[in-house]
This record gives sequence, structure tokens and C-alpha cells, in this order.
Amino acid sequence: MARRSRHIFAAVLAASLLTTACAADESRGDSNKVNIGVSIELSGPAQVQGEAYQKALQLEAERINASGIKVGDKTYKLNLIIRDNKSDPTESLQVVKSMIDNDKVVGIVGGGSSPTTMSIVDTVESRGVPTVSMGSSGAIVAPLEERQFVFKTPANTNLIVDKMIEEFEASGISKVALLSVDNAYGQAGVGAFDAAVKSGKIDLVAQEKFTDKDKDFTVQVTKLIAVQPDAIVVWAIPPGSTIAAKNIKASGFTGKVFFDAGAGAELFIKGAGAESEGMYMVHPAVLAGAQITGDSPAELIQREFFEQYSVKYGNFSGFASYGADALRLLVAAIEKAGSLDRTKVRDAMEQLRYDGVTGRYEFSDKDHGGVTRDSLALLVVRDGVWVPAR
Amino acid sequence: MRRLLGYAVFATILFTIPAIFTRVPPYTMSDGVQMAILAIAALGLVPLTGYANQISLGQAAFYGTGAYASAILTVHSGWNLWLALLVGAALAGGGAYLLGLFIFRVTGHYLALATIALGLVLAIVARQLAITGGSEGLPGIPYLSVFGFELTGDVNYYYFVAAVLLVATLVVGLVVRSSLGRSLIAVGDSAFAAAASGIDIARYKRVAFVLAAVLAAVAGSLYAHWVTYVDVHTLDLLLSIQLLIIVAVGGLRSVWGAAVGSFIIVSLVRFSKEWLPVLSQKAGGQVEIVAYGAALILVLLFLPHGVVGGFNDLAARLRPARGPVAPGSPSPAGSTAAPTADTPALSKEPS
Amino acid sequence: MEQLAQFVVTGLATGTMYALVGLGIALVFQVTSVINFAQGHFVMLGALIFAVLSESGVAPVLAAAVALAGTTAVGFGVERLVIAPARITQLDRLIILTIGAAIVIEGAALVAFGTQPRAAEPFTPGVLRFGGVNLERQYLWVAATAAVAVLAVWFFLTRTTLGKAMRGVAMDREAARLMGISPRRMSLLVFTLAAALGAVGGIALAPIQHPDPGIGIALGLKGFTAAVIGGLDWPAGAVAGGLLLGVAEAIAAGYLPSGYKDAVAYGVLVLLLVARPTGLLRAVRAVRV
Repeated sequence: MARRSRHIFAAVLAASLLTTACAADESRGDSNKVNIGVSIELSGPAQVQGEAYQKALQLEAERINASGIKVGDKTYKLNLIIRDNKSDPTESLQVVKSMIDNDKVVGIVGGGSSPTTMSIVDTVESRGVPTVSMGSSGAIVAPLEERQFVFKTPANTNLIVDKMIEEFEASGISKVALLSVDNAYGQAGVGAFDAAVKSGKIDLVAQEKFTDKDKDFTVQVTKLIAVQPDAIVVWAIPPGSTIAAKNIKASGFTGKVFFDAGAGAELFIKGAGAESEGMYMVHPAVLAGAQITGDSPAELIQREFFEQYSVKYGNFSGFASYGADALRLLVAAIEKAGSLDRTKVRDAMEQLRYDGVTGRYEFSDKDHGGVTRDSLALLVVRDGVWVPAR
Repeated sequence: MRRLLGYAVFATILFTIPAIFTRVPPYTMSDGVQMAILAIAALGLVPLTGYANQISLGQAAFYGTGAYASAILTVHSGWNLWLALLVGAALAGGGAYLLGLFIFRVTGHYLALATIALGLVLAIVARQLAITGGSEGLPGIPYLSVFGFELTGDVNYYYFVAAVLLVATLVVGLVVRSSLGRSLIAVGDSAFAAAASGIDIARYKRVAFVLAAVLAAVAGSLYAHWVTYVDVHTLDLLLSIQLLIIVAVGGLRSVWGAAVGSFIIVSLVRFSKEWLPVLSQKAGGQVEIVAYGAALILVLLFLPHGVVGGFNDLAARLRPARGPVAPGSPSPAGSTAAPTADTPALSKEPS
Repeated sequence: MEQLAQFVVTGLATGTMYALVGLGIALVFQVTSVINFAQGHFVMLGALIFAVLSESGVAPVLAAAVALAGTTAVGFGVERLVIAPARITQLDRLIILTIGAAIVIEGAALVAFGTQPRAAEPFTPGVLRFGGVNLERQYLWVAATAAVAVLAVWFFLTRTTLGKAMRGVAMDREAARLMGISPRRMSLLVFTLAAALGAVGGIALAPIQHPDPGIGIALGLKGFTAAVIGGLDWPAGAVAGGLLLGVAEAIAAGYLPSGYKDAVAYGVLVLLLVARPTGLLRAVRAVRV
């Protein structure tokens, strides 16, 4: 009796597994849909970025599905599969492999940070899945022979530093101090500054770090201003960038303060309040959305995205545009390739000349890295909003 | 005989997993590899926490040591991969031995706190050094080769790590059944009584700690050659917590606890990630975390000896005449009712 | 010299933060012998609820009251639903259950409040300057809160019947039981109290912490370190330990490459556990008692 019931149990289990498998296959094999996988940081230390990416991607998916994706003479619906990678490289790898094997994605958006991208690079490369990352590290797209399928949307870190150096030269700043967050994001900034120092472009007089869990950097700031720099550069994301702004202001530092593109839009101003007045940031111009008045097609795209995002979510994040562009680039490459074949999509991506929300992208077989330098602008906080500095 | 049967069933399940995982979504073979690696890393907690009753929240410190040793020695120094793995295991074991020399002189929660702190220190140092690649980590770690055969695909690699897991389980099984294991139980249950009967408590705890560290380091090396990229997350406290959760859920007093726990936890993460967004668009990773924590609490409240312990209790209740075990049940968890290693635990820890 | 003064002042200020968390951990450990991994999460919850409410324009006093009530209720719930029903015989393993509780609290906070760091207005804005040293005024509120909390806990434990009963449980569970004190009731009481303490600390810290659901773990770890320096089962020692930790960290960050700041803090913890597991301040305590 016991044995028989066990057999029945086993049979039922097997049958149910089989049905699950079939059922799952049916929904996945939907011929009118293009699956694109997203691996982003919805929890963990990088969750602030992840949330902005998610909002932007959902906004973009709605826009794209209003007209559909045209591949040859067929129109497909976009099916966005968003998965949390918990800001963890291993989790990102698992998520991505599952999306490749089970969801048969045409392309991948993510990871949203450098470590969650670095862990998937080998996999997407060997499986041949075009991937657009929102991570900033240069190692994501170099060496190019091992990164054939990997692209990224944020500007290469050295472009942001170059833009800052332009401003240093214009306003006679020679001694610069650097305060950075002690993670992969901050390290990319430090690396770019070290390179600039080596090439003799700037004089870095002091350099300090804080962790993404610290809430007070007074000690670090005290050390920095002790060497009397002309300007302090902060390389961090909120709330670190916000706290840095407050601590620097509290220290009585009178020189200029520069932030990189991660400093974080309204979240930054909201957190630092009046203390943020007059601080600078190098960021794609989209952040000054309300002040973009030109009517070239590129500027129209930026203004439209800024308005839609602000209206729908009540604020704007500097990270949003990177996520939006990653998806836009993939869709543009699919349409250009006229095929859902992953290799053809990759080939098309490499030839793209595209005006995205963040700025202009010009990928080539020599460069898979991010938005071009012309898209970057120097912004400043005036009366509590970001405006172009000149 | 029954013991051998247990291992045979375990081996059979391990090696049929690829046939299932490659066919049944949302599983991928990658999940299988992760399960096996986590199981190896958690296995050492069975003697340490389950028997000697010492909580370690620093398994990741040793896991990361193994991962970084493999990464640094093969990428920067071009060492033989197996030699690098051995060096990683030796470093971890040596470190555990040194810490154990001091920490087991007193009883209490000190191991838990010291291992947390050790992991945090290593993670901070790994962020600062150039040789570890700092926060950006070290890419470009080569794949392992066995007899000239490069283990690249997940399926190939799975068979290899599953074999390692099987061997590791055999080793831990031998240890817990040896006189050492019995002494550990005595130490865990009543340190005073054990000391009175002449057992060198600190020494036994130290042996269990070193074993746990070495297994974690081996798992870390296997991880490094699988992902081919290592960063500070391999040293993270969250990983240590996950490993402790794995054995707690699987069963702290059974050699099968680590494998069963790893299967359950990885499955839980995979399924909740796949199905929770179907239920609600807003349910991102956040709800997944709640589900994870709630599952942990529920298992520990209702099955204080983990899932394996629960099965043993059940089996003992169902067949009082035939003894507590019934090998060869159809489900994977059922097979775990086989080990005799649990029997002393059951009699010592009635629920 | 001025620099050193600034480091010490900043260290003391951040130290009050660690002290507040350490106090709750030591209190729970003293009564129940459980290391409460969720203490940092209580602080997070208090800070986050307060910040979210004040961001949306609720009057600060009302926001603080809601944060305090909500967090205290969570502490009560954690003890009732997670700690009390546990059938685990070894007390050590309860730490795993408190980890589970911490995970659920963090996940629930993420679902309820999202990922963004929140900004609460300082109680009194501005920076205090004296002799080249500066300090955010909010830290004075934190320090005052810590001082009041310590005094209240001390008064409760030594001057009230309930508190004395609690100390009785801490000293000898069995003897206390024989005298009619229920260790289970005391456990419930101390967890609830710890959550309330956490909430009060969190409210005072909200303007400094920029709270998001992820800050709990980091706070908890610094709290453990503070409590261990004090000897783990001595609330006043945890407060002193927190201040000591803050100053040590600030000086380490000041005179070493600042990336190693936390390595110093946790390295000290390892050495301390190796060399003096009963706590650095044990000698002080022996004199006192």
C-alpha cells in the first residue's frame, strides 16, 4: 500500500513538472514578443541607481510598445524582463544566465554597476548576447577583443575628468583635492584622476576616501583642506555626495567644489539643501532638462524624456537616462539589423550613430564605451536647481 | 551498508540534477553550480556549529581568501591552478588555526563576533590593495582543466563541483562519525562535562574551525574559476550569513544539511525572483527579501533541526519498529533520511 | 593641534551614534544572552519612519511619536513571533533567528518606503564653531538623547521593581524563575525596550543618517563593536565603548590613509576578542562594582 501510494505520488510529481515545463515553454515562445533581459540593483548598496533605472526602463518600455519594434516587415512587442541582482556580482550572473537560457533574451540591459557587469562579461561574450551596461568602469569595455558583445552607456570616466580639467584651466585652478567613495564607482574616478596626473594635466594635492556606509566625512574633509587646494572634487553617489557637500560647506572651504555625474540630481539638492548652492557637476546636459531650450532633434529627445519622467515620478534622477539609453540602443540595433539574431544585433550596434536621452553615441569597432564627450555639460546649482554653468 | 546506500542515493541525485535543471525553468545549470559551491562552503559548519555549537559568521572570510588566492596567483603570477587552490586552502586553514588558538580559550559568542570582524577587515583591505584590483576586482581568471579538458560550460563544471561536493561530504561524514565527532558532540552539548571527562575542548573546536575554513576556501577557489572574476563580494558578511542560513535550514546536525539547505535556498531565490514579479509588477527584489527572511524564520521555528532533522523526526515517528531511517525515498529530501550520523544527534536533542 | 581637536570632536559625535546602538544590544544580551542582530534595524526603522513622515510635511513631534510607536511595536512583534516560539535549545542559535528578523524588517522597509535615502530636517540647523573646530548642531541632540537614554535605562534597572526583576533574570535565570519572575516576560519586555531605544536613537540620528532601508546592518555592526569593547553585557560599558570606537576611528582616518578607517575599527575588535574577550572596560567596571 505504502509502495503504491509512493508510486502515485512520484507519477503526479513527474506529471506536474512536465506540465510546468510545457506551460512555461509556451509563454516563452510567444512569437510576437522580443524578450530583453534586465539585471539591475533593486536592493543592496547600489539600490538608489537601480530604482532610477527601473523607473526609466518602464517608462521607455511603454513608449516603445506604443508603436512596437519593427523588425523587417514584422512588428513585435517588447517584453522587458526585469530582475533584481541585489547589487551582487554572483546574483547578477545567475539572473543573466537564467534570462539567456530560459527567457531566450535577444539582448541584456545591465548590470547597473561595474561589479555586476564584470561578473557577466565572460558569459555574454561566450554565449554571444549583446549587452548594454550602465556601469562606469573602463574595464567593462576593454580589452575590446574580449568585449565584442559588451557596450555601456555612461561616458568613459576620463571624459568626465577631461571636462573638469577644461574648467580648471579656464578658472585658474591648479591644486585639486579628491574625495571619493570607496567602491568600484569611486575607484573608476580615482583611476581617471591618476591617469590625468601622470599625463601632467593636473596637480592632485590630496586624496581621501569614505565608505558607502559612512555618514560623516568631517575628518577626511579636514585633511583635504589642510593642504589648501583650489578645488575639491567629490566622486560619489547619494547619500555620500550629499553628506560630502554638507561637510565641505561646514568646514568653511571657500574654493570651488565639483561633483561627477553620479552626484545625483534632485536627490542631491534635496539632501544637501542650501549647502549645495554654487556647487558644480559634470553631467550629460539632460539633467538641466527644464533649461534645454534648443529645438534640434537631439535636444527635443532630451527635453521630452526629462518632462515625461518628472511628471510620472515627481522628480528626476541623473541615473535614469543611462538606463533609458541602454534599452533604446538595443531596440535601435534590433531595428537596424532587421533581425532578432543576437550576432547581427551586435554588429548593428557597433555601427550605430544614435542620439539618446543622455547624449550622442558613436560606437565603432574600436570603441564600445558610452556617450560622447560633447554630450557632457558643466552644471551648477542656482536657487536650488541644476542649470548650465555657462 | 546503510551508510553506503545513503551516499549512493546522494550521488545519484547529484548526477541526475543536470538532466532536470537543463529542462525545467526557471532553473539553469548555473544554479546547480552555485548550489554545489555553496554546499561545499557551508558543509564545514555542520561539525563546527551543529556539533561543537560554535557559530561562525565569517565563512566568507575564508571563501574569499580561497577565491582571491586563486585569482591573484593565477592572473598575476601565472601559477598552476591546482597549486593556487591548495595555497588558498592552506592560508585559510592556517588563519583559522591561529585565530582558533586564542578564541576558543573562552566560551560564548566570541567566535561569531570575531569572525564577523575578520571578514570585514579582509574586505576593507581587499578594497585598498592594487594586487586585488581594489573595489573593481580581478577579471580574467582562467578556467580549470581536468586531464587536459577545460571546464568551461556550466554542465561540465557542475559535474566537477558535484564530485568535489561528494568527496567533501564523505570526508565530513567520516569526521563526524570518528571519535572526534563524538567528542565534538560532547563539547557542544556540555562543555563542562566534556572537560571533566578529559576532552581538550579548545583543540576539538579548533579542528572543526580549520576544517570549515579549508572547505570554504576550496569553494571560493572553485567560484573564482567558474565566474572568472573575483571582487570583494566574495568576502561579504552577507555571504557568511547566507552560508549559516543554508545549514540552519538544511539541518545543522546532518552531513546532508548543507546540500539540502543549499538546494532549498537557491531554489527559493530563483523561484521568488521568477514568480513574484508575475504576481505584481511592483514586487521587485524587495518582496523577494521578505520571502527569504520569512522562510528562514518559519523553517527554524517549525523545524528546529532543519529540513533534514524534520525528515528524520518524521521517519522515526512513522516507523518506530524499523528504526529511524528509511533509505531510498523518491524525493531528494527523502534520501537524506539515510545517514546514521544523525542518530546520536536525535537522541541528544529531543524536540 | 586644531586638526586633532577636530578629529576628537567628530569622533565623539559619531561615537554617540554607535553608543546608542550598542546600548540596545548590551541590554538585550544582559537579560536574554541573545545577540540581537536586528538592533541596527530598529534604529533604521525609527529613523526612516521619522524621515519619511517629516518629508511629507507631518509635524516633527507627531512624526517622532509614530516612529517610536511603530518601531516599538515591531520590537514587540519580533519577540512574540520569532524569539518566544523558538524551540531551539541552544541560546546561541537564536542569533540566526534575529538575523531572519533583520532580513524581514529590511525587506519590508524596502517594500514600504523604497530605496531612496530620505532627508529629515535637523532639529536645529546649522554648524557650531569653536576655536577652529566645527560640529553640526544635530549631534548635540544625539548626544543629549544618548545621555537621557543611558540615565533612563540606569534608573529603570536599578530603581524600579520591574528593572530589578530584569536584572535578576540576567544574573540567574533559574533563581529568578523560582522567585516568580518569568524570564519569558522579561525577554518580551527587554526586546520591546530595545526597539524603543533604537527608535529614539533613530529619530535623533535621522537628519545625519540620511536613512534608507540599507543602513541597519552597518549601524548594527558598529553597535556590536561598541558593546564588545564594553564587555557585551554592560549597557553603560557599551556607551563608553561607542565613544571610544568613534574617537579611535576618527583618529585612524585622520592619520592613516582614510580607506583603512574601518579596518582599524574591526581590527581592534578582533584583537580585543583575542586578547581581552571580556571587554576593554572590565577593569573600570570591577572598580565601580
